[in-house]
Amino acid sequence: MVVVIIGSSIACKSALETLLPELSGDDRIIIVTKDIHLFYSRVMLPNYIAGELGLEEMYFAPKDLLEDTRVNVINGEVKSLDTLSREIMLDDGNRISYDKLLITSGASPARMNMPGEDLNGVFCLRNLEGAQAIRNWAKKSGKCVVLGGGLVSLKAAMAVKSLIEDVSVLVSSSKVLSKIADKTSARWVYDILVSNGIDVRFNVNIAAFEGDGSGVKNIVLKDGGRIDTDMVIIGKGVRPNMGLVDNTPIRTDKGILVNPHMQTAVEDVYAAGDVAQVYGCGDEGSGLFTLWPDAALQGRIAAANMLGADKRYTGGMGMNSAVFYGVPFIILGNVRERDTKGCEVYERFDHGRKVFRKVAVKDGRLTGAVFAGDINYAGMAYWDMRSGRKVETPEKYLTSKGLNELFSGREKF
Amino acid sequence: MHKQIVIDIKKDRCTGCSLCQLACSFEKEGKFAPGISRIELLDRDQKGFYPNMCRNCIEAPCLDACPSGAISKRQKDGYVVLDRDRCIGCNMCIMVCPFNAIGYDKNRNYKCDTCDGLEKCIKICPFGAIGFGSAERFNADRRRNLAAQLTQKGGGKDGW
Repeated sequence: MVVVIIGSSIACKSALETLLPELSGDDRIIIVTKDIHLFYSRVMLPNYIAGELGLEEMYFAPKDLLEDTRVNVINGEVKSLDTLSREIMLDDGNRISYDKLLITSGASPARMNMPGEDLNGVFCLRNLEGAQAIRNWAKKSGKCVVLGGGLVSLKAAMAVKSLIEDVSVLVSSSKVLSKIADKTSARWVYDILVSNGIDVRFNVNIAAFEGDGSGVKNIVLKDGGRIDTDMVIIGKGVRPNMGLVDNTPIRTDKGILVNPHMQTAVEDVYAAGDVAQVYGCGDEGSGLFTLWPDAALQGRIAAANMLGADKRYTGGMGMNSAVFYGVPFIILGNVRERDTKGCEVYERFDHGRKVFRKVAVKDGRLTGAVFAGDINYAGMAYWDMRSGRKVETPEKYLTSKGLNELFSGREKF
Repeated sequence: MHKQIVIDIKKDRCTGCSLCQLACSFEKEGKFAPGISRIELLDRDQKGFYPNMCRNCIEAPCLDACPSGAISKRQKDGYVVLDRDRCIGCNMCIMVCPFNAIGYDKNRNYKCDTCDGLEKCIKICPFGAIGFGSAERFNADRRRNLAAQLTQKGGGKDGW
């Protein structure tokens, strides 16, 4: 059996770990990737920019995983698939045939399609090469502008701030984290950023980038204003890399559609990670969750099913964890005002300790939670949400004492 | 495949004396500070106490969630350990731990590693409230206890 895995991040790694002990005879695994550095962690890119981690510390997997004689790594980009003859076509014209295929091609930064986007000094934070370029450029810059108010943008801004004094974040909506956070927690995050010297501006719409051969000089706003800068980091989300399945029977929507076995519409072709569109564990339908833990799990499930097991993915869930200048922040499920319509919402803001907690409950089940400033027992809320456990006293989630009681009350040891 | 180590907490034996927490924080951090111990002492509302700690899950969610490769299963005994040198303190492990067994301090996460096999908390507990053992032994013990409980009380609410 020849297993071909496209991509080389966490979904590939967890699939590899699952497959290797089960291979027999002359079974082989071929990894096709466009990355030069395999198994580095994208989550740690901000730490790399800030200089907290060196290049050799960026890897999340031991190198000996690839030293197995049954694993081949081919550097190249996959252009297309032929699901009938079971082959993949590379950009250099080579063809590789497979018995089972796992697509973990990930996602790429969304482009803004604006004049000047290709100027030197305009970056995206998605891969190691980008992070290296940002770090080198920032060392000789005096001012940086970050576009977008998502988690990646904010993490990038905090990382660059440790190198440059003057860092601005321009957000097109009226709050940070507008895709995941409610007003109060967005404000909580904003306050921390501003008190640490990051300039955050809202309702700013970009029209173009201006500069010359040496690099970007100005950002032109839609209202005609200009902001001068030495560098720009664009953080406008990601799009799945699914061009390779064009003209195949593999079905796509926002990403590559998969069933709970992580199998695509074509037999023996699986997808996992940021490229896969999966069902949510609640009633939110299918979508892209683009999360590290999910990718790890999906890779393992796809690999187990390739080997003939019957493993099912129980659904994705929107969640995220970030640390803003030493203060922890975790958001689970749906907490935005527009998503919590029809839910009972419980909130508590401890202004003295700067701790904010919020839970949203629908039909007696948790659908969203925010743990800002104190993340004790966030994991318990996560599993309550995943499992759809009935919540009798939601207000207990709002205090440490209440969470403590909830947890010890249900322990059956 | 190594045997699965499980944590056996006997809630009816814990008196809430905190000795385990002190031994833990002294071994791991060099100070007697229950707040940064790997064990959390839970007050079960008049029904006694019990030491809450990492249960060494078979499919550990923290292992999947860790984006830096800091969390792994230890080669020698299969225990889930967190390498603080590789940890970036992102709290993803805390977000998915059902037992609140992972902590955050000084930009790093931390969890129990059985003191690399020294098991300081077990050694110091005067009442034998914490135990480590193989899954087989643990299950056999639980079945035996449950049988004893059922025959004594004629079926209890805690039975499963």
